[in-house]
Amino acid sequence: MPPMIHSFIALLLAVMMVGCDSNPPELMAATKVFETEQETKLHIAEMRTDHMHLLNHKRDETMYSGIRTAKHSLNACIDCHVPMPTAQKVVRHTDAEHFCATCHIEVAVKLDCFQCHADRPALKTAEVAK
Amino acid sequence: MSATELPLSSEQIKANRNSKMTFTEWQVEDKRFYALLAVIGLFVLAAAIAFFYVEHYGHYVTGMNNQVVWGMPHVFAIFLIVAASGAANIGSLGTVFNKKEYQPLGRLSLVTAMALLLGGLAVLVLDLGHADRLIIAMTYYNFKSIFAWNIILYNGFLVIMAVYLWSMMDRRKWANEFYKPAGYLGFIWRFILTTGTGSIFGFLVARQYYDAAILAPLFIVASYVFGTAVFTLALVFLHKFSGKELGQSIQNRLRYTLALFIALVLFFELIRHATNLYATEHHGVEAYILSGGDKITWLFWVGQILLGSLLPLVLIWLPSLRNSQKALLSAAALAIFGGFSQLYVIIIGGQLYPVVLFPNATVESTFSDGEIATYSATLPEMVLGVGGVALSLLLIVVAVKVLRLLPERLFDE
Amino acid sequence: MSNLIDRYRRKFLGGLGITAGAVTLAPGILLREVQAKPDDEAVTNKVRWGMLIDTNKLPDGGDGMVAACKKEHGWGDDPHSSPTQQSQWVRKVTFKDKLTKHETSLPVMCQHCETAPCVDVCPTGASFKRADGIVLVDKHICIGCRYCMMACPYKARSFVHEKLENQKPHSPRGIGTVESCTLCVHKIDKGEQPACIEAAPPKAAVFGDLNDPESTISKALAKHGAQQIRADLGLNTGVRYWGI
Repeated sequence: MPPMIHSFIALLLAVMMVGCDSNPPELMAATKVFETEQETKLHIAEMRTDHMHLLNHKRDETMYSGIRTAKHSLNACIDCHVPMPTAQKVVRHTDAEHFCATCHIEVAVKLDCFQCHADRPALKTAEVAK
Repeated sequence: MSATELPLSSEQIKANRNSKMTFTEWQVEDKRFYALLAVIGLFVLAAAIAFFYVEHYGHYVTGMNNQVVWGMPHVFAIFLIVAASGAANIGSLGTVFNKKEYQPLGRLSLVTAMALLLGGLAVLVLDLGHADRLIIAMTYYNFKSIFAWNIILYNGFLVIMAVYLWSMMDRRKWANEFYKPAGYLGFIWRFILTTGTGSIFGFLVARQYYDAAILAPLFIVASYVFGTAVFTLALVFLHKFSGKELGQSIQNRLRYTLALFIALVLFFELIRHATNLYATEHHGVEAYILSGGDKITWLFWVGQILLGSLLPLVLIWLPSLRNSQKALLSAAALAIFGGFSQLYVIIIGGQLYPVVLFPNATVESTFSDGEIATYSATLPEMVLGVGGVALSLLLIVVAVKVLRLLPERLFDE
Repeated sequence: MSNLIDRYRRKFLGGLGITAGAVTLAPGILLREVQAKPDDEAVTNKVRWGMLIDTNKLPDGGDGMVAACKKEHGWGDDPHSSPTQQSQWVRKVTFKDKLTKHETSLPVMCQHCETAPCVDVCPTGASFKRADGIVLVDKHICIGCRYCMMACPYKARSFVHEKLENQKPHSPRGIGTVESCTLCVHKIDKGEQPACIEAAPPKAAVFGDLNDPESTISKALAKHGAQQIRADLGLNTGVRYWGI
């Protein structure tokens, strides 16, 4: 391999490692809090690596088998992580401060969940938001 | 062999006889070639813009709606896909039926077929509500769906045609051994592929104008018309554009192939409509198509039957026009126009007529029940469809430029 | 002759209406009958959900049921779509017999066929039937080809022609996918009834388990029978009607 390619790969790796090391951006706080700090840590660790996997799995269970437990349900995530819309302010998935959008914008991964799914909590919210 | 050529050694003559024919790249001036490429490229670019426009805003910017769910893009896509199968016919005639006269055109025939299929598929795929989910169409299969089968048939067609083409072009002996098997497989595959495409409509119980087994053979004979017409235009164009002579005998063969299959399409259409007219249940839709008075009726009688079928037949069989290239080209162009008309009538006309929920009653609702729907294509749909044609042409001209597809000489001995 | 039969038919159906009144229970009692399965339990084919609509008991021809569906799922007012591009999960259809001039109105939605043409034709399997007989679209794998819309004899499906906002959390719907009546699957899974049934006039519509011979709907069907739209297609629909 010519040396240029070596240095290119080294640079690429370096960039990737810097990317991995960097802390995720500041996220908006959830409305509910776990009872112990350990639970919180576990939740964060699990979700950081596996949230799409878990959501996809849950999605198929709900879609095909009608299993509608709150665990790993997208609506349950949204209810806790995205603030209730108010007459003044509605946080949407297109806003950088939206819980999902913050990271997804940071890492430039397109989100298409919200083409169909509600991006803010239940309630009579849709009417309020309008 | 003309006398002006240098005398050849007996070995050279033997080698020549064994390879039978020599092929060449498209010999056209660079300037002319790139100008042509730019013109075609513009249409492809316009289609790309049209695609992103619809993708961005959604299908509300098209004329399609919840009554007419398939529109102009589907007319173009299905035309190109059906024509692809027919364009490969020239190759099959040489290989399967051992017609020596067609063998020099085998390579161009297969490339035209592949290009048409790719152009058609591009339009079909880019019109999807979620074109970004193409990977899902390739990974999730419902084998009861003829659409799912078609995905396999179309991909398989491309692979088989590629192997077939390679077996024609590779001079190594073992490559040649694939020639016949690939030719036969391609021939059979073409039938299945067009059957599958016709069955998209044949397998629909819901709508009055579809749900008929005859649609599959109708599409097969139509594929010969579309494919032969497109191939004829492409062949003549490639020769004219590079100032090369084209023999009369091959043109006459294409002429009669075209005429034969136009007549067969007319026969199948006659049987299809006669069957429908016999069954009271189908009187409504037949009355709408044949005498409803709107553009579908005009397209059927004037577009498909008069200009698209009868006039080409006259142009081909009129003794005074024998050997006229202009007549052949006009006939081919008219047959293509007829083909578009035919598909528009089948695809759009079949949807404009309302779904029958209550057969012996007059029906009304807020969702167009019991009334003829409306549809007119918007610009993005037209541009996307035309772009599919342009993409096919682009692939053909690039292929003939870089590969040795055209026979060195195609004039009469 | 046909006139006579029709007169007889109407009389007979009128009679049905009365008996139907007797067999239809108040919604409160029905609620207990449609039992909620535990949230974590998968649906099975022991159940087949269906509904029975008595058109004679719908003075508005089903307008109220249509409105309830619209409210529940939020379709029909997409800002950019033209009237023919708007979704319509359920619609009021009025038909008038050509000979007798008898007019009937009924709500038509996805008929939740046992052998659904939309399920057959879907290339990816996005259009599917749940074990308990509810025909749905898995919008996650719907590519928006609209073949199911071509195949549905009831024209029950709609395509979403534009980007949407403010969808209901319980009823996701979005651009480039096909949608139709879900039989309010989100409510059924909680042990509730479809919104249209709740909104129907008293005794006009029943929802329940077609596989359970003891359910109100099964008893009513066993006793009086019912009609399907386009019964000639043999699709064994889950939605049945009286008076069509």
